[in-house]
Amino acid sequence: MSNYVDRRQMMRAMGLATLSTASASWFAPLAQAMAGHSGRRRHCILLWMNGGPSQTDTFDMKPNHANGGAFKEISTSVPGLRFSEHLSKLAQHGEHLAVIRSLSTKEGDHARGAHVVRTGYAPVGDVAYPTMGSALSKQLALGDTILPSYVSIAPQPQLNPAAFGPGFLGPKYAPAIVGGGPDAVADGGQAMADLRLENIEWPEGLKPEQVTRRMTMWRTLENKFLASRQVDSFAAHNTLYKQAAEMMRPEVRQAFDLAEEPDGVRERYGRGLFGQGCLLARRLVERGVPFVEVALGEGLAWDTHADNFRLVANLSAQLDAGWSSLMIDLGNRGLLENTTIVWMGEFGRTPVVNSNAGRDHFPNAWSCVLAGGGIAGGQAYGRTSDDGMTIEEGKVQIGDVLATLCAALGVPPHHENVTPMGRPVAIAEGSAIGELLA
Amino acid sequence: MRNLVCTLAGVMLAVGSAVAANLAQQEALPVPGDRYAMAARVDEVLAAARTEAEVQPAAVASDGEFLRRASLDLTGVVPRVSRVREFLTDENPAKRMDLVAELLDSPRYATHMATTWRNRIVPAEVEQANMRESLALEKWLRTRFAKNLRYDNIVGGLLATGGDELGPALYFRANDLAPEKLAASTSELFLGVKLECAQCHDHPFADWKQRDFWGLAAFFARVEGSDTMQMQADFRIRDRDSGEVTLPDSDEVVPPKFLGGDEVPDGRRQSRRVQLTIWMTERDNRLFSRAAVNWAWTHLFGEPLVTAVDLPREQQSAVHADLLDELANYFVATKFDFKNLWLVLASTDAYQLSSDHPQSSSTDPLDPQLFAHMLPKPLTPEQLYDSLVLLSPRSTSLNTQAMGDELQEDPLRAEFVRRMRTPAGSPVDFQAGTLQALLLMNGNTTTEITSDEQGRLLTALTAPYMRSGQQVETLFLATLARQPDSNERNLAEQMLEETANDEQRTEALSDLLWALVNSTEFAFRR
Repeated sequence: MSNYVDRRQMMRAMGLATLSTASASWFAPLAQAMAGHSGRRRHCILLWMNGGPSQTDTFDMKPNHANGGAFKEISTSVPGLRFSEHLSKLAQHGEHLAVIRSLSTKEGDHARGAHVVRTGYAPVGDVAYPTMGSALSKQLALGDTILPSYVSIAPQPQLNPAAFGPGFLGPKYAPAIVGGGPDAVADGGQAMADLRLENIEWPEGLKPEQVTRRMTMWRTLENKFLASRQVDSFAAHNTLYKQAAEMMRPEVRQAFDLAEEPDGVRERYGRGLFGQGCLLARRLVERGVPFVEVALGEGLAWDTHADNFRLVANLSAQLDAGWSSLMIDLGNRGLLENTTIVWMGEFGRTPVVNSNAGRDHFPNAWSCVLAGGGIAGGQAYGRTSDDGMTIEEGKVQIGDVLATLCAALGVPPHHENVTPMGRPVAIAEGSAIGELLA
Repeated sequence: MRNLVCTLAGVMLAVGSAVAANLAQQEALPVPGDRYAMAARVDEVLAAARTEAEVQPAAVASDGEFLRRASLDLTGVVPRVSRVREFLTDENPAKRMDLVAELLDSPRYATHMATTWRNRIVPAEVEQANMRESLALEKWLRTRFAKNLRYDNIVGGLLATGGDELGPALYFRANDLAPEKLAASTSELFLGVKLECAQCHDHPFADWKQRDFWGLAAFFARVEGSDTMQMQADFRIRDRDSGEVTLPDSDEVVPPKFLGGDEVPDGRRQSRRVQLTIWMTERDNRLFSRAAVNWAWTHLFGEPLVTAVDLPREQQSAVHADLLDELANYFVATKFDFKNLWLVLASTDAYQLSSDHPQSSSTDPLDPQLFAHMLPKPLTPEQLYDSLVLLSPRSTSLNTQAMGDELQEDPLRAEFVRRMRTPAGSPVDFQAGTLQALLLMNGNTTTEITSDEQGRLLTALTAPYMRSGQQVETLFLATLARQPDSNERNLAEQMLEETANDEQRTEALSDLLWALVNSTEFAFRR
């Protein structure tokens, strides 16, 4: 924060001084706001695995079959529930985790698969479906914080941005993007990933007197233009800028500042973008943000068509450190019971190992995980065959998984948002799986 | 599904009568002899409507407002500062019409129309997932608008696409190659008939109306695409020899049938899709020409001339429906010449009006259908980006992109547009979110143009002979196409004078530019 700008200075410049004295601010301080809603507040953290993670090498191991691959299976804190050996820290939290081993979808293409899983709907031309983070944060937000309702950390939406956006709900429900430096963890001895919320600070090098000048001139232009014009859309533009200026308050920056965390804690989560992203997710949940998404891996990291086992071991190590630390910290803070965690990618991977020691796209029978608040942990739901190729028990659709997530969060899954064309669209089409709900 | 079909069937009833009424109307109306007569006729009709409503038109917009308006509407960018100076001092009484003609002849006209139509026919999310084809489609449209190809030929070429052509196929993919979606989309886009029109939901309907919709869908029953699973391969549209649609929840095949028209037997020479295309784009197809003119009107005025062009005629405002007919006749008589239509609409008195109206307020807005003042439209993401970039050094690369053949989008532009996109809705609604405001305040694009090292405008401004007054004036002309008022001028000049050295002065200039491009005035085309 080399160019720290006093908040009062900026507020005054934007013409908010009178507002500030009248009510201290448009928004109550973060801590005060938090106190009022402790009972109703629910959060969701989506751990998004770009590229489609291998279920056979993580949560649905096949150690007694040729398809099983190179990894060993280990026991968890729950008898009978077993994970990959590369998830040994997470395995200690088995009682909070519910693995769904019988998810079946129809899209084996990254772009379409991500759309189906993230919105609950097949990609079609006539409705821009919102991604689950937009739809759920809209329901979960209590409107008492200036922090964004949906924060997405290091997303990789290039392949199909529509799967990562608010769709017809509009930009009000778009995720606030937290970008970061390149994920350096794969290199060995590396710097801590640097995460920052985009655009909430003045550009680097801008001097305090420049801020004053910008806002003074801006206010003069606005006053002149708006004084004689009563047009709703003009007023909306002006108000939006004032709200944006609120987002530039120091408390908001502080919420995103991982330098406040002890080094030991940052190390425990893992130095990469995912580990630091999980830590940031915890900080944001502590401050009342309803939906946080953390992506693991640059590009389609889990798209392991070749060299699957080396890549998955590496990715699992990051996953294990970040996710297990999140479980511990949320638990210690009493936040796990009202924070539901989802782990998934756009599809699973073929149980059969290909000639490049890789696994290919496989939407037929794959796994995802629900954990924490509202979830009956310590179980694996559904079963695949010994070779992993087919579902033998408890087949579920993506709509059922999303409906279960809604139920765990206390959101009615069939709540309908209405498109600009007047068509009602449910958050999730499907039925909540009763056995998975606490 | 059943619900949707009910809605569709309900609308069919409306369409049938609209077609009949439109056909009857056509003969009675004379076609004005030239574009001046046509423009005068538009003003005559609107003036009568205002008199009836006892509403005075707004004052005429200032030259600066008009220049910025026409530039954004027809070419998608704010005017360059040199053009603003020239225009404001030009004494020629015909300068506004000369400007419109000049804008229509600039390469940016075709670029802007292509972008606008691509956004119309392909939803943003499809566009983003198919960037290469989307650019091909834009290029395809651009070459046609640049040649001012007849509108009926453009639409015909889009719908009848085949062979090795890259671009138009994306329209079919955007609709999943599904007959019912293609029917709904083509009828809305090109015939102005919204099949999901919720107002019609309560209409009584009989079985044959449902058949009417599926009869339209049947024209697309044999469309297929090349393998969609190969991401890199070019996607093309073909017609099979077989394929039918059936009524929902039944096995009953519905044969192809024109909207409000006859059943069509399968021909040997032409695919069903081509048969439909020929019918749609016929000069006698009133729905087709009316829909095109109504869209063009909306593009310039922010509000359609006829708000529910698909409703039965008796539910439309008679004044506006008649005027739309006259304009549609004119459009057909001029061989679907879009440039000619723009000249007519932009030369009306209505298009010259100021956006400020003494009788209009937030609590009691004027009826927009009176067209008694100009409705302000927020700049589209593309208009914003291209206008901002005009102020930066990268504007040269943008020009080559507009002319070039490369199927490569400027990645910074694509990212900016993606972030700034708002949901499809009325062009006059402002729907942006906080994060978008932050992007404009602190994001790369703004930071770049307000940086003293890179900003083209700022570089020009720091030339040694420039005085404070000139600098301030240039900044206002380049962004808002107007002079600063005395208050603005005094404040800005004072800020410049208070600086201690050249470096600080450049910073102050960049701060003024920042304030201007983040102002509400900049964000709208008035």
